[in-house]
Amino acid sequence: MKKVKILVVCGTGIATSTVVSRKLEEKLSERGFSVETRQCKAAEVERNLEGADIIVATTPVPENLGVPVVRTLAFLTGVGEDEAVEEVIEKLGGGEEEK
Amino acid sequence: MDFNEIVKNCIAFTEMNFNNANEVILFLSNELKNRNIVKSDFPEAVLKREKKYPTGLYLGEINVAIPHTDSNHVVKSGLAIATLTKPVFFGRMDKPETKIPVHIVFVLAVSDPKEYVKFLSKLTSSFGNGKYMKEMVKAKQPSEIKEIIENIFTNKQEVK
Repeated sequence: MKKVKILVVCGTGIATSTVVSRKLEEKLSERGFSVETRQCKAAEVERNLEGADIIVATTPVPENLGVPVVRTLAFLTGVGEDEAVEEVIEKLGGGEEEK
Repeated sequence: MDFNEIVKNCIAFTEMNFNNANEVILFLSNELKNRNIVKSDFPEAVLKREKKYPTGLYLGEINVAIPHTDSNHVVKSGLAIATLTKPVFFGRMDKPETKIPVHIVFVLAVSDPKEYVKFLSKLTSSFGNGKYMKEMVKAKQPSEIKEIIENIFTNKQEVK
């Protein structure tokens, strides 16, 4: 299993990011990832970056953080969810490593 | 987690008329406050947060908004819903500078995110299913809204 750390970002870091975190854990584990999520407010992204492989945000976050960002509401509303899962996996550098 | 507790603290208003997003937010927040579901500083905190991080969700035909704030302003988990006869404009959560017309507003009172998450994920995943939102907009009575909410939560079938 490929281990990934995801920083999940929303405005308050309590409601929507919790929903998005659970959904990411569910969807990515189905695809063979071992997922660890951390949540934070958009204003606190920079100080929570350490160790994160990717950021999934429901609200705009600063650019050039050095970590790929997927900004989407799909994990909240279910609209375009499959496409969003693919985008996350692609930005993580693909699925399970065949080594 | 007990959906019933949140559903019990769910209040609804149908065919409401407001001039802007702030008016709806204040109205619903105050209704929650009057029922001791949230603390007295909740309405102001929600407004402030909405200004910085808007909560409009663009769904296409019927858009919704989910204003909320930190748990320290909340007494117990609940929800206040208003359906609007004419939409008011909210900023989009994913693109705050873009304003969208919103027909249904859900003010969330989240006392414990862990406890709220199942409830909220059921609710938000129902947004993607236009059927529930259309039924909600058509509702004449608050009891119809509560019925739809109950249906969303008791529906065993996963809403896609």
